[in-house]
Amino acid sequence: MKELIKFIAEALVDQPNHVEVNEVEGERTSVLELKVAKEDLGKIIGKQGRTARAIRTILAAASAKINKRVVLEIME
Amino acid sequence: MEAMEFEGKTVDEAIEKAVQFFKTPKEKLSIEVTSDGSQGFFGLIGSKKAKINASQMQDPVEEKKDKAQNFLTEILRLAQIPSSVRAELIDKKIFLTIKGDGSGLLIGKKGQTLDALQYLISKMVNQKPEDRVPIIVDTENYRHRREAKLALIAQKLGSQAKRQKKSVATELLNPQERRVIYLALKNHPDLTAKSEGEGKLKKVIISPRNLAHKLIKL
Repeated sequence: MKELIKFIAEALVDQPNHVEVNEVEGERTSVLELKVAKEDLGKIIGKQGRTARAIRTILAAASAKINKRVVLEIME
Repeated sequence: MEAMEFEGKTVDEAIEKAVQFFKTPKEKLSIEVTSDGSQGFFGLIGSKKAKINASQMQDPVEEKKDKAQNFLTEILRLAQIPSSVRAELIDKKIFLTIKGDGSGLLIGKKGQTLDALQYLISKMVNQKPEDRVPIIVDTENYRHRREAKLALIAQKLGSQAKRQKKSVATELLNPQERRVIYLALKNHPDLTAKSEGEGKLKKVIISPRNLAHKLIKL
């Protein structure tokens, strides 16, 4: 899941080398913390959060397969 | 596209070799001459071969198509969804068709997973707002099935509105879905349709035409 988020984020931003993803694993739920360059934050969130929502939708579909809840947090 | 080196006695000959290699007309090659070549004395002593670097010029839309296909393939691989992606260019639109395990996981509730993929791929490929190429992501013929279903819903709600002589509303629909409703009722003599709501998702209100007239008079 970590690689999935990293790949999507890198493809969306202007500065892919500043993309960082940390995984905090829990028993039933994992948290993915996504960090990008400050200037790229808008590209990850999108108008009215549309891009962030789309990323979370894909994450939900992917994690449904492995029966785990994965939460995406976008760090500022 | 990677450049390749070609040699010939003259630059023209080197270009001709590149044309044959790529099986494409000269105009579609990007050519850089690295050595003009010289004939030398009677073509015997001191002759130098002409060298060029040639690569195939890519149509920007074709390039986007390849990019879109690669992005989607990689996302599905990383999401561990076994699938393959076919890419086609129809009417200047990029159609990406996913062949998956048929579980419906890729479609999601009311197609929201499919829409999310489509939205993200479009963002990735169309980074500059100019020369934007529309991208449609589909699987298991979902887009067509959804359209057919919406057209049916339009007819059903339409006859309900007529029968009960009052307006009826659809569920919340996105612009493409609303378009299908409008098209289905476009030439209907007794019904009108209009959208209501805020944001991307709106309801379509279907009203009997005479009622609509009455409303205007009020």
